[in-house]
Amino acid sequence: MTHMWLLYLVLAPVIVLQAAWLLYAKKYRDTAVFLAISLSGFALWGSVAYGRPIILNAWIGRIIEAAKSLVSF
Amino acid sequence: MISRGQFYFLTVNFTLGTTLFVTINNMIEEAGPDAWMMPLWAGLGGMLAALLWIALLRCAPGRSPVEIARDAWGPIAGLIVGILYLLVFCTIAAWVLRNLSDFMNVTIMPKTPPTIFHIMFLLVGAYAVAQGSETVGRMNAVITPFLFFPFWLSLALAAEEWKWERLEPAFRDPWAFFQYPSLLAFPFLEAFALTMFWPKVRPGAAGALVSGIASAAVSLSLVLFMVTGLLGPERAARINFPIYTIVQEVSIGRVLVIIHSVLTVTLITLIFVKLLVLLYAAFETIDRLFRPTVRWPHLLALAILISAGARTVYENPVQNRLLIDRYLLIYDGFYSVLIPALLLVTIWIRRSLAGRARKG
Repeated sequence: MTHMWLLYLVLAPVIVLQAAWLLYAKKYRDTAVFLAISLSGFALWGSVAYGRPIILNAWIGRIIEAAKSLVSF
Repeated sequence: MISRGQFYFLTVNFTLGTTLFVTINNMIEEAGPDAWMMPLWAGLGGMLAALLWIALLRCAPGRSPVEIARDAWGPIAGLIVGILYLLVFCTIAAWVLRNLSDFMNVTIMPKTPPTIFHIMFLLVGAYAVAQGSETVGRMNAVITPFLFFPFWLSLALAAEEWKWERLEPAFRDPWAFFQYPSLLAFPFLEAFALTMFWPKVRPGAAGALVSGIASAAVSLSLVLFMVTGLLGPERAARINFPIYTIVQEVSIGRVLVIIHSVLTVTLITLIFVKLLVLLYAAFETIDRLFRPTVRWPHLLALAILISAGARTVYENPVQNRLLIDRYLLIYDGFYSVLIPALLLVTIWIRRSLAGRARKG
């Protein structure tokens, strides 16, 4: 689990530096898109580092079950 | 622009991609000696779905499905559909990477952390995608012969173990596909990602897409036929990676004894092609939605997201298989059949209303 924490901590400066460069270059739309995607990834990495990963296909299953119960009332 | 031939090879390699790893033993377990018929039925379904995508893409030449959604349903609904497609492409890419690291950890590199495979493949893939669709198409066309011949030669070398009795009783359950329809979703409906290449393909892409899916279905059927004939349905259904096991047992004299490493390289390259198409589709979705002025930061963001997804896409292979059986057809059918069908109906209704207004 330690290497997961290391990776997680390495990611933070990568994201911050990249976003800072985009802001410095006045590419505001690019900054917003970059932050939206990379922070989603960062959150997923966070769940891995904390030892409670968000299992994506289990979530897909839950969403489909919820949609099924909505459709069938 | 990429040629029809390049698009055809891209379709075949994308469709075969992880399928040769993941579903072979499941199909044989479901259908026994008749497993080779399942990809043919699924391929037929995939070709029908491809005709739907072609009908949609022909309504708006030069536009990708993301742009067509924005044109048909307006900017907000179009943005939602675009983000949905972005998430879908990222999820499938994460799935592909996880399948790859599972294979590598089980077979030849058990001590390498899965994340190392994920990050390395993503970095190389991002570099290729940053060069554009032509690079992706050309690279795939160049490597295809180096995948095709070693793969079939490796399987042919194992043919001395062949027994026709293993394929008996034949035609006992030719409809087994209909009890295991998730094979239609994975890999054939996933080929929807290739529609993101559509605006970059020279005229005649429709034939390349449909014939590519058909060729992949026939290839998969042949592979299943050979695996069943070489291992027998009982043994093949119990092994995680039957093709690898077949070739692992082959040796030519005392010199060539590790032919399975050739097969490993072939399979890894096929997976890389699939990842490349999905990464391109995800990046192209961002490009069409937000018109970014730079490429690398967004590819970096995608790499962060997909590498995290690859760690968390499923808990273990058993849970993965259960969820694939139960939900994959609904999941893939939603974005690759329902949304394109609704878009097509919207476009037809709009055109007929506009035609009536002109006449009135």
